[in-house]
Amino acid sequence: MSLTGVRDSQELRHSIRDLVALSTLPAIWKGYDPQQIADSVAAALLTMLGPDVVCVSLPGEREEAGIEIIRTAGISAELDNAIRTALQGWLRSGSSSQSASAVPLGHSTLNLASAPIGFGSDAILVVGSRRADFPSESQRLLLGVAASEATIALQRWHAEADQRRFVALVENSSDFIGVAGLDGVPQYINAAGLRLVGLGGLAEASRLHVLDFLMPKEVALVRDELWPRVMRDGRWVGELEYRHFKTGAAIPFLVEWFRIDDPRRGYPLNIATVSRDLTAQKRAEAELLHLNDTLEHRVADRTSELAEAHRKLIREGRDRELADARLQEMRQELFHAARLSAAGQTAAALAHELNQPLTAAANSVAAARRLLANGGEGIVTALEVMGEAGEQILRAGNIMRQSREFVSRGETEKRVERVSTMVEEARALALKGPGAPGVQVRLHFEPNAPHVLVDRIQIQQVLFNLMRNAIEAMHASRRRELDVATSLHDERMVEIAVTDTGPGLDDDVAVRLFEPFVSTKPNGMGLGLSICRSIVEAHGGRLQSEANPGGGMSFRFTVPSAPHDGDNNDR
Amino acid sequence: MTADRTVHVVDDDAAVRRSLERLLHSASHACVSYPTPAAFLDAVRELPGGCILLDVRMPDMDGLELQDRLIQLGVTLPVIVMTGQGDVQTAVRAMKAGAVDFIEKPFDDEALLGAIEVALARVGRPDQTLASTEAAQRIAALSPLERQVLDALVSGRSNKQIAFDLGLSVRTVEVHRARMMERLGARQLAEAIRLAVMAQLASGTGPDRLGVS
Ligand SMILES: Nc1ncnc2c1ncn2[C@@H]1O[C@H](COP(=O)(O)OP(=O)(O)OP(=O)(O)O)[C@@H](O)[C@H]1O
Ligand SMILES: [Mg+2]
Repeated sequence: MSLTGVRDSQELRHSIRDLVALSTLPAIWKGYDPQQIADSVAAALLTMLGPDVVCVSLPGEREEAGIEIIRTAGISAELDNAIRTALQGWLRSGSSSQSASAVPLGHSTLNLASAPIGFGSDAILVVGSRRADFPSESQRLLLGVAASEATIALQRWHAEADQRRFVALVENSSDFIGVAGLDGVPQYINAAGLRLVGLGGLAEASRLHVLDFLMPKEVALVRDELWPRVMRDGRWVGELEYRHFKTGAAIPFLVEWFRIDDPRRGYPLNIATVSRDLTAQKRAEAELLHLNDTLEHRVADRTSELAEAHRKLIREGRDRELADARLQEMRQELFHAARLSAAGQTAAALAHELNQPLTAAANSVAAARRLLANGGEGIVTALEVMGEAGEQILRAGNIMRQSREFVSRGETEKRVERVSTMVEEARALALKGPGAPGVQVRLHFEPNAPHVLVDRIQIQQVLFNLMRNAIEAMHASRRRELDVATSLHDERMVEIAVTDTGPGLDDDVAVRLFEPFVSTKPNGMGLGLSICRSIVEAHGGRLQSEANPGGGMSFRFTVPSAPHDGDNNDR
Repeated sequence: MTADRTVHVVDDDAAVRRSLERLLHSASHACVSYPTPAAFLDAVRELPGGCILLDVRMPDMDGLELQDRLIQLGVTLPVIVMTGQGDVQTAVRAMKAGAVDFIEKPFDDEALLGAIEVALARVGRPDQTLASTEAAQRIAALSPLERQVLDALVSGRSNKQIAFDLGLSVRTVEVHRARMMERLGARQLAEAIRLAVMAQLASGTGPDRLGVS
């Protein structure tokens, strides 16, 4: 810089003194915030340059508010006001980029000298004086030096602010943050880190090794694998257990280790870590897990309860189904048995019927053989006996012939049948069962209803069952009369009535007469009437019972009459 | 006491009665036949001896009822019951009611005459203890399964039903049945049944044991 214009040595001395003073300022400003720096600069310049006004304008940077300091010295309040107004107007006018200018101030002029603070920002240092020779060259120089010093100070402050923020961040962090040398000796550990592992202070830590911070089981892994990996790759993230130095307890950490390199030359300087204590998280996780577990358990319990209930239901359902099926099966068996019992009784009756002549024939043949073997007059007897045997065999044949049609199966079609034939056949069979002897049977056939359209076997089963019931009912009656009568029910139906002179219905049977398994007989299955009813109904008819006025029961059923052409009376 | 070898036939069927008379006469037996149990009961008090050949299936009073009556009347003549074919239940009941034997209609003359001989030999010895004890011994020799098969047969069940009851195949039941018959020395089921019933009489167990009443 040139000292041309410095008038005398006195002024030069002042200037040098001011420069030295200015150069000491940064040391003073250490720790000053921008406001304090601005104040200090302003104060220094007021003293050094003797101006009317000094202004430091620092626009807000980032989140900070802007700072504007205007200082006046040795002037009236009125003038102070005027100067402030003029100066602010000038600052807003945007002409501040010029290093020197003049603004009108009442009848005089305010000469201004300014210098930017910082690099490319709007921050500015302005000094103003009404003196015409303002600013001198040395004043300009001092202003420039002050602005530079302020710039450096502010920049340093901002830099330090970053650092302070960073340090505050690190210090206040609840994470374990540490820096170690490449030898693994801790150089820095934040407060939280010290606290988490139970260390009293950094001094204590600096006597340790990074591996000392680990649970024993982790040491080998870190030493042989992770540390080399961080050195090589620059980074490792994972979970590790640190050790609490006082309690020895394991502390779970989510560890991030990274290598810090020299920014310019690139070689590694430090290994640093940011490690998050996972204890709470683990506990929470465990709790959550437990909760989940218990929840799962509860859900599982509930589920299994439900499943059990479901199974039970299914089981019960199946049991019921089985029971139903069994019942159904049983019913079917019984139904079958009952149908068979009619047929079976028929067969038994037939067997007995056949057995008699066969037995007789066999006996006769055996007798004849003996007689013939003995010779003599026995031969004549033998001839007689053989004749008897032949008769009995023919008798058996007759029984077979009579019965064959009745027992024949497979005919389920409805055909036109002669009522009288059906009834007579059924009666013959019914009377072969026990209890029949002594029963007086009367048949009456309505001449205008000779034919019906029925399944003969089925309707004969109805007739058989009703007649058997009648006969069985009368077993203890003095009067034992069985009447079977047909009549015209209407144009379409023929009614057949089976009437007895028995005791009538038992009271508790009467209400459920046609229900299956209702029986008062020791060997009765109680199926007869229910089968009868279904057969009759299958024919479109009805089966009804009524008590006779003179005692005994009447069972009447209807079946479709067959259209008979004229007086066609034969079958 | 001279043995009366008269055979008293009770059957409601005239042809059967007649043929039996023919057969028994041809075998030199005295024979008297009665068309109804009532007719027989009327005459029974004056009977000196012999045996009774009784049809189990008759209208007014069946053979079993007649047996009961005879017992009530103190008639100790041995009874042979004629049953229908395969009517095991009736046969068992007849045996329990004191019949010495039963025979299925129609029958072989030798079988009938043999049974009559046995029955007549027992006249005057109504006490069946000896035979019963022997029967009990033979029954006791059966395996449990053979015993089960016999009991089931006695209660009138078919091979098929027994197979189902015991959870066996019909074939297996047949095998056990054959072995059971062999061990009892029975050629016919009737014999096995007779032994079973007699053994029961010996052991004093009630008739309920067989599930037949
Ligand atoms: N004619 C009748 N007089 C008096 N009671 C009767 C007569 N018919 C039927 N009953 C009564 O109705 C009951 C049921 O009759 P049903 O024919 O259905 O069965 P069951 O004769 O007892 O046995 P099942 O016919 O199966 O051998 C009989 O047990 C009997 O009490
Ligand atoms: Mg009935």
